[in-house]
Amino acid sequence: MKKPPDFEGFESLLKGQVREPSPGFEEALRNIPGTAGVRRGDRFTSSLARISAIAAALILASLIGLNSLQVKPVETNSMVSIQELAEDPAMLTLFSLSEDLELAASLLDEENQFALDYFSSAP
Amino acid sequence: MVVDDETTDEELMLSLASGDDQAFHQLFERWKRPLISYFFRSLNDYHRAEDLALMVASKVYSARHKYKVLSKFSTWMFQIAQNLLRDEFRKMQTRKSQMFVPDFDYGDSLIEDDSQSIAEMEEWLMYTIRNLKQQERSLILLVYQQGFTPAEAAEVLGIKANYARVLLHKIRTYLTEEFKTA
Repeated sequence: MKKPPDFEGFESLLKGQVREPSPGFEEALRNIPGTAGVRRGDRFTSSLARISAIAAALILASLIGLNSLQVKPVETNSMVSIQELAEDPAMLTLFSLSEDLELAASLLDEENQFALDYFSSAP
Repeated sequence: MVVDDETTDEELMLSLASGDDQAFHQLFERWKRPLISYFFRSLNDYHRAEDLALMVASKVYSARHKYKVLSKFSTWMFQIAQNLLRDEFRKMQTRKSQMFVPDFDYGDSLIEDDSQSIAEMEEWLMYTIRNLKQQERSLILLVYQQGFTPAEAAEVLGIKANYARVLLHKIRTYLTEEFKTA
């Protein structure tokens, strides 16, 4: 390989003029102002962005709608210990009433009539 | 806008931004050859060099409304070129292919005008440049081919000006040694 004689020779070799651009290059360069901004890639990207924005808005609206329609859970009775129940007069009354009712029901039950008659006739 | 040789690149760019497409043609009438030359020396592929020069032109046109005169137009444009070149090198690293297409016309600019000698020197130049790292190659092309100052070249490459000067000194030393070697 032959070398340039010195650094200046290297520089001029580096600056050497490139041949004339091809006709295809010149034509493409002339057409840039007419084609810029209408490339397929740009259109696709902007469409995709628009679709994504609509989809995101729909999902957000659905979430807000579902949230407003959501039925609040019914409050359930909390579990109470036996000791707490025993200390509550209202609950005691309720249980007493319940026992009285059960007794009344058993007295009125026809199936128990025979036993009732037997005990009532006992001396 | 009346365009003449005195009109600066920055004025043409501002004119383009205001809707004068003729300014675009004027601008790239000036810059198409330097751009092709830069890409060609970086890639050793003339057709790819033309493609990349067109991509730079297209990006400049698309970004015409964003352009602000903060630095020289050429610095801004070569930053775009450098980004494209980085992408190209990334692709080339995967392809691992390089072409050698000596397509230069030197006229009287060289000491010897014998076509055989020029072809041989061209081969030497390609061999020497290929041994440089990508950043070093871009730096030497920007400074010695495009006429950028080291500070302007550093701005294009995104490195500090002092580092660019050190790098240039290192490259010059390397090339001087290469000249001495038989």
